[in-house]
Amino acid sequence: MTPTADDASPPAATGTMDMDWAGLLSLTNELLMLVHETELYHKCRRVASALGDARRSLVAIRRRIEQSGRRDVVAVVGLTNVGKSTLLNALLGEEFAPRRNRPCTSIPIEFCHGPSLGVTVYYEERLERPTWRFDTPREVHGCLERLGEGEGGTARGAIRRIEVTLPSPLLAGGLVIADTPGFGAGQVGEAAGSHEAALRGYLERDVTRVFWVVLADQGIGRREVEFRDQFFARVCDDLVITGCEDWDVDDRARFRARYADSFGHRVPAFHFVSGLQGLDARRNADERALEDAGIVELERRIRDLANPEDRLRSASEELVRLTEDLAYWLSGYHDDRSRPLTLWWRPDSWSRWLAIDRPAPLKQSLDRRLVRRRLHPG
Amino acid sequence: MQIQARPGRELIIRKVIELGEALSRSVDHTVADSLGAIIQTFRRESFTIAIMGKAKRGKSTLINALLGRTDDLVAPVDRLPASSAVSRFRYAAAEKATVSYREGRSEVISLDCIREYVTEESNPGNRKGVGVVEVEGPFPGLQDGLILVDTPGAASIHEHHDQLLHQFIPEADAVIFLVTARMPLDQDELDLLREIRVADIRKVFFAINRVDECSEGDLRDAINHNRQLLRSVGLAIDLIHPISARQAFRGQVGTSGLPTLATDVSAFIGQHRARVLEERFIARVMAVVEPTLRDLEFEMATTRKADVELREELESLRRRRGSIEATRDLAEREFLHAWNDALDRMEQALDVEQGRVRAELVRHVNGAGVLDIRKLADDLPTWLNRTIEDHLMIVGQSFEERARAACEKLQTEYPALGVQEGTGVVLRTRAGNELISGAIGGVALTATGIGVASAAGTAAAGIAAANAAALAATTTVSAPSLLASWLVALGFGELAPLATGTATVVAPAALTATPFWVALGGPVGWTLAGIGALAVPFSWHLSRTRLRDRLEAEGIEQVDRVFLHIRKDRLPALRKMARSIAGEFRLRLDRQIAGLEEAIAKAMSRPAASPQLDDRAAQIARIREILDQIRSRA
Repeated sequence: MTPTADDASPPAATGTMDMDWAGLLSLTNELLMLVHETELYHKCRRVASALGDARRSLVAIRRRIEQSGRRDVVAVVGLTNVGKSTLLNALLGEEFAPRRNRPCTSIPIEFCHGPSLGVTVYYEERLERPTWRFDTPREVHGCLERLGEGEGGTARGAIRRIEVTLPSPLLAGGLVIADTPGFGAGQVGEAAGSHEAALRGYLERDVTRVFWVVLADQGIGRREVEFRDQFFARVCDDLVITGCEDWDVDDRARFRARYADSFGHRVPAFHFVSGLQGLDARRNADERALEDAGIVELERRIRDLANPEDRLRSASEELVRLTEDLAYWLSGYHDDRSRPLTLWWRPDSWSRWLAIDRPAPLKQSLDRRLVRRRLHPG
Repeated sequence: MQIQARPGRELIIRKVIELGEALSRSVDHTVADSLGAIIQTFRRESFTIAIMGKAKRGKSTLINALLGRTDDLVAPVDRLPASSAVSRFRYAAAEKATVSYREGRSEVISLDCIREYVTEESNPGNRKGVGVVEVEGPFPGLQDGLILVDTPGAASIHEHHDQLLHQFIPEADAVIFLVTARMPLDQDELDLLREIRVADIRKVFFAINRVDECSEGDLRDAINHNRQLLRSVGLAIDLIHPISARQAFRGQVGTSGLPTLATDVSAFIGQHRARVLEERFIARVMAVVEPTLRDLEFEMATTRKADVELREELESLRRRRGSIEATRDLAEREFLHAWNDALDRMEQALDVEQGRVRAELVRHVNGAGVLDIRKLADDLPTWLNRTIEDHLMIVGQSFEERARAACEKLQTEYPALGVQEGTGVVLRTRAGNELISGAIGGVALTATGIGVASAAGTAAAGIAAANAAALAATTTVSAPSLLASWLVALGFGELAPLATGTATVVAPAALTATPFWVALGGPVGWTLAGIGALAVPFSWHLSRTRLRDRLEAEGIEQVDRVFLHIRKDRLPALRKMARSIAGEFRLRLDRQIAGLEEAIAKAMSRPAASPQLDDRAAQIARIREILDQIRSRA
């Protein structure tokens, strides 16, 4: 007797969330369909809008899953001159990123792992990608500075992005860290808003996570909060506060307390660091000082995010959390005559969802949450 | 600083009192009351200097330093944005602090407690309802009736700070504007400067704070950036003071740069105090009276007419509407034709000039001696830039002349709504051929916010707007400040704000008063703007080339590149610009007519005229007359 295909297939991978990227993506797609179809199905505006919320979150999660399957780009975003480049230099251990007291870096610069130092330029309208090899970080720095002076336009046309390769252990896992154009600087005339437009496009297309950088002394302004809400609130779970050399524990706690309110329900983690101190510590190979500067902790966080398994887990967790929120909302719903919602899902969509043959714990845990029941007391 | 009692001072006050009386007779007692308060302030002769800026720029620290304090009791300082209220500091023999609450009552508090009222930490969201805190004391430098004001920082996450600041701005006579060296001047700061400008505050001392925290090079960069940005939005700031308020606060006054700032401020006050106070007085009076007067006049203009009359005017306006279509269409077509013709000529001229630059380049490269090759390579980018620039100027100027002529023609031939003394609104088509005359009192137009700028002003605004639109449409040139600096280099210094299109926002009044053709300084300067950026990679490339024929080839490639860039990028945008100018004209007229229609319709629904109409008319005329007299002093 020949074994059937089922018998021959290897047992499902062990672990908490036994699913690969493709599996997770297709499950998310199914869930998205379920939610969307139900959103269109419900006549009650409130239910539909809650489902619409869920749908938008799902789209964001899906986008992240999709992107993470390819490249993991962590973007460092912040106002002009808050010390993004200094922070990056401290993380990468050398002074690569240009640091000037003017609105600069209008082109995203991506740092990724490579055997040797090199700079590659990608153009907006050209196929060629000139690459320069360098021996010292100083040369890389100089090259980036020159490219920056052209402000995005060289004789070969507008630059889309610049890629820097370097043998940094932090990037070894395939992680890409990007230095982005600063936003919010006063620009007038032809270029007004051009930095922000460039940044927005980049964040939408290429970035999986955002580390939002603010300057301790400067605090967080309204424009920054608005920009965050508009462009990267969904992909930002980390706030990096630079220039914290002489901020003690009490100051930091007050900082957190003052600004936590402006984040709505999704408060990011606050990382207090000192870029300059970190850079010095790195140069002197002073581990302790590096720890004090907050760079070690930040590196750890970045590594965690870069770990493929962790990323997979975090995406799954996000799905679970979302379904939980949704179930909670639906179970607490009452219409005008205070009747609860008897039918959560569009029946045919629900049958299709149940029929998905995926004996994964994640699927089961999602099912458990999506089945109608009473979560609200009384 | 002895105050010179100017002979005209009392006269103006008398005039304003007269104005208040005239106004309260006609309607509005509150206006007379506000005028009374304004006169009182003016009589007091105190000079109010406010320190403004974004959050965390060091305003309170500067106050402490200027007051010679060694603690921050009176103006508390914190690592987080601190000040949440407006505090006034004035001279008195004894120390005293008074909190005035919003609801009207006030309370004397001890100096130690100021922190509890003016900081976000102790009074979050201004729960205590503080309006303003007055602090008196034997502060050095404030003896001569000088009032120093600390304001909450703009654009923080605390929105009520901005409200307080916004309400306070008109009270200032002059402003010390604070930025930091680290953060380049940003949009929020430009917005704040604009607000200051709108309040007609004419003196702004500009200071870069915290210079002790940055290097000299950084400071230089910051000053340059700020200067360029300020100039390009049309703000004339001649002096930027680098200071360190914190150093001064800690006692190192000598190196803090503060003495220079203080000298500048007191020299200004010593010299211009009376004039500034008078200007500010008049500006405040105008701000109070103008809106009321406009309401009055609008009411007059409409109630004077009979319903039948108004209906007829409305009918007539609607009838004529169709007939202007033909006129405007023709004017637009002629304009587009003239503009495109100018562009075609420019394109041809570009070919010629390109050939000339190439020829000059070849001569230049081959004329250099063997030993000069190195120097030649180094200088070539600069030389080439200058040469291209020179040749483009010729092309640009002749285009400018043609475009200007086309615009002027469009302006004279386009149907327009205008105001004619005595007769009211006039809808004018081809030179002098009036279609509607005396449709409604001219002031009605102003009152409905249609804006009765002169036709010239309208056109200028239109073009500046179109210019900005066209500029925004291109992305290839991204050197932000280049435009302004190039225009200056080309002798268009004072036109820079127009070319950038930001002037429309910053100083609408200035713009509408600018002769129409001036706005055309834009296109030419813009043709050249940003081309300099193309030279940077070129020179980098070139610095590695040491062979004569390679130099020549690279140079020619660069010339071709620049000209190609202009042809492919600038010309199409210029073509588009013509459409947006015409569109702007069209839109403006449509809006004006719609507004007029609405105004007439509104007038028809008003109650019947009151018997004392003539009386009121006389009053309004009287008020206008007094206003004119006051204004003529300013």
